Amino acid sequence: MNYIGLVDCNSFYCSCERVFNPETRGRPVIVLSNNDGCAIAFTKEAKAIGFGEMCEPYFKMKERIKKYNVAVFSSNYSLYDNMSRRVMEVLRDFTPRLEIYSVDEAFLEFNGFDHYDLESYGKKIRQDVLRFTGLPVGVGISTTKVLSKVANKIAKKQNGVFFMTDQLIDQSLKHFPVRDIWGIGHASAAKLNMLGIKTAYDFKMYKDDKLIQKLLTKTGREIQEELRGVSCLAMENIEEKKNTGTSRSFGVSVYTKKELKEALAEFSTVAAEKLRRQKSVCYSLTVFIHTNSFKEQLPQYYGTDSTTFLSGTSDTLRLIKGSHLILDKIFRPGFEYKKAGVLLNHLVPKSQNQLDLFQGTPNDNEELSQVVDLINKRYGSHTIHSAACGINQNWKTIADYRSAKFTTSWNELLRIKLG
Amino acid sequence: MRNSDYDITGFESPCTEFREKNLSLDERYQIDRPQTFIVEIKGDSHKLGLKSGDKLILNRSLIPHEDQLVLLVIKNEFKLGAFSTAQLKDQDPETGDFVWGVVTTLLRELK
Repeated sequence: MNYIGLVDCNSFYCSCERVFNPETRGRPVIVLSNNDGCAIAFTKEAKAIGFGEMCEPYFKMKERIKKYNVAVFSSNYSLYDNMSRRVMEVLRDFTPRLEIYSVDEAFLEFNGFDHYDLESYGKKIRQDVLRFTGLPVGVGISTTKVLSKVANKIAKKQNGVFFMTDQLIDQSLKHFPVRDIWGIGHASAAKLNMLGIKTAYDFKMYKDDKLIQKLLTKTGREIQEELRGVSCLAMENIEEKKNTGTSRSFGVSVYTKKELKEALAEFSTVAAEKLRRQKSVCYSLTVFIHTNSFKEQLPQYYGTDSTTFLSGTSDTLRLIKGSHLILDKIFRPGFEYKKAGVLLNHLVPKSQNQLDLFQGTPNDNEELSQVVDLINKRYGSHTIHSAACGINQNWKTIADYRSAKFTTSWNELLRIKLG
Repeated sequence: MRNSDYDITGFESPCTEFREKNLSLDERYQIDRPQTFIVEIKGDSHKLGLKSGDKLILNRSLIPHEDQLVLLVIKNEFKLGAFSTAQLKDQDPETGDFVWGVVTTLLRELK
């Protein structure tokens, strides 16, 4: 019998903060988005007192935050990334095959684990991740990905671990609303409800496969098969990404082309580094800039355009140059800009890069990129960067309540007071 | 000193086949293991023999033995001290008191 486990971290961002700030345990904790604009993560204590609306603006919550003594943090992505990698390292020891699905969840393949007691194995996983990293996780185990997701949700309501054996599947699905199934969105749930399908069990037993195919396409049918214990969603080792990018809201309003150029140079740099890390090149670059749509009284503008490259690139300087050429086309003076971003599309592995017919060799200065990456890896990111990124970076993100980079910066280690 | 090869133009060194890797502090102190964390001390303690600015390497996966130096969370606050089984019978890393990490190594830069 083949089994699949799904492990995910409870309120991941908030839990990371609690590891290094134990006084926030038991208290409601929320984490704010870039620029402290709105809330993006909540603990169950915060949800219990009415927080939890995704992207509720921070200023609207201020009074309640004071009243309930809520601990507020700006997002500290360096810390979350580091803690995430620690969790995945611990999980790697429990399975020959790990699929990292997102920053805080992973599938574990348990083929040939028949002589294991998977319930205790799941408990051991939960216990080890908690002990090694300080982060609480939920563990759901069953026979397909969709079922392991169901088991995981049920696990969260009990002691954090649920091994949903064949005998337990049907009775569990009978109490599981169809809208909570992984991959079933609001619209799909509404369609299924129209057919009288309320629970995951109803969906599993629904006989008219053709109608499901028609209403929910192939994806819906696959989910239905997975509920029946037929594996359709295979384990993936590395997700092949088709695009990547970087975008950010500005800490202050930005009016000039000069500042936007700096920001785009910075985003291109980060995106190019991402590309090189995954050993890919891109064939097209999209840039967008826009005003703050929440400030309805101000004039609004959204500008975007793309450019393509004849040979794929991951060269920082080429991408910066490309983003500036696009900006020249789409920039309009007189607007208060709030956000900008670069998207790199049509990614292919570097080994499959096509050469430019007329030039023969790629335009990328690979040696330069390699040296820059090496220096930044050794001495910290941004040690060396293109001057196009600017020196002052006035547009930089606000993060008034960011905790320290406890695990990645010698200057920001956790301080323990003696005496 | 780099671990990579040098280009030799004359005679190949007879030592090459006995080459071993450089000493690595990262490896020795398991710096890249998921359970390893580093903290910094503020203030001096004669009793513990620690000075302000000292850095401690902690291992969260170890079970401490009696009197071993550990970082504790007691009543939701960090406290550095000797481990005592009698004082900390029931550990609860999610809500109660617990051993946050076992101190394995002291890093002190001499100035």
